[in-house]
Amino acid sequence: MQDLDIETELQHIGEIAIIGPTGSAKYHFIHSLCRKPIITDHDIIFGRYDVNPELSLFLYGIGYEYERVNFAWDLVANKILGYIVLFDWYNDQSFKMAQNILDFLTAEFDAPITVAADVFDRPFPVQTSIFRPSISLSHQTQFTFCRSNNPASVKKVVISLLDMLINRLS
Amino acid sequence: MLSYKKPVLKDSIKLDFLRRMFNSDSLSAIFDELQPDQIIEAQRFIWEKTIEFGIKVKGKDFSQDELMERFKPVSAYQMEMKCDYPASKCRGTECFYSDPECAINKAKNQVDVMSKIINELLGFDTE
Repeated sequence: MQDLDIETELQHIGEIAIIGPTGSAKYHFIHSLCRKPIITDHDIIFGRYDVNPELSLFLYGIGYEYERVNFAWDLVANKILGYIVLFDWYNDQSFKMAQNILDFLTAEFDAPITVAADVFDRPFPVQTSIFRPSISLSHQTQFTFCRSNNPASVKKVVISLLDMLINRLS
Repeated sequence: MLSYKKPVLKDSIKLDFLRRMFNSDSLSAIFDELQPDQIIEAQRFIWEKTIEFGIKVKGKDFSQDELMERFKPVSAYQMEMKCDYPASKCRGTECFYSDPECAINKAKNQVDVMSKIINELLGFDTE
């Protein structure tokens, strides 16, 4: 695992976990925002996005294989500001796994969750005014669509999660 | 982490409802898998989303009154079911516990109406 250069004296860091059944989708998502994602020894995809000189976001792409869930979560869960559950909208199995992930997160954590349905290059199933900025499912969870390979789309998902966090603070 | 408080209706089930709405699939189809208190919550959630989508699509022109007119009146439903209880009982949630089959059937009918309305709002073929 490469050393991470964290300038904690000068910067504030926000940490977000992107969880989903598909490694490539998580990689595309993080790569859309961060120039050089790193895949660690434990299959965690890491990306750093510098919002400005004072604030950086650390994005962790984590899988949800049941037998490995304890290890990855031990590493990152206590530091996470919010979660993005990323799944393939057009894949039923991916959707079922997203539901399992959502059940796990809502049972274990209070941090805000954005469920992002990835359509990649395919059309959105409904007009954007319906799902933007997001659709609320509960006080903890909201839903939106995204294109994991599109930086503007990925940014909207991250912003909607941060907005949810800020709204909770107020 | 916080102590686990079990919600009446899990977010994952609401997500399922949302996916069904956007795929123009039946919403009431999964009611058979839910408990009465979950059906009450599901009905409330679907109603909320119907209003939300109505406002997002039609803005000021969206009328909740027009929406309500599409539901079968309580009196008509009670007559159909040969029910002698006061209408207030049927409008409320009490019957979900005293006569769940009837209450769930009514809920399914109402959700099917909301499903049609959502399909119209989203521009799906309703034939």
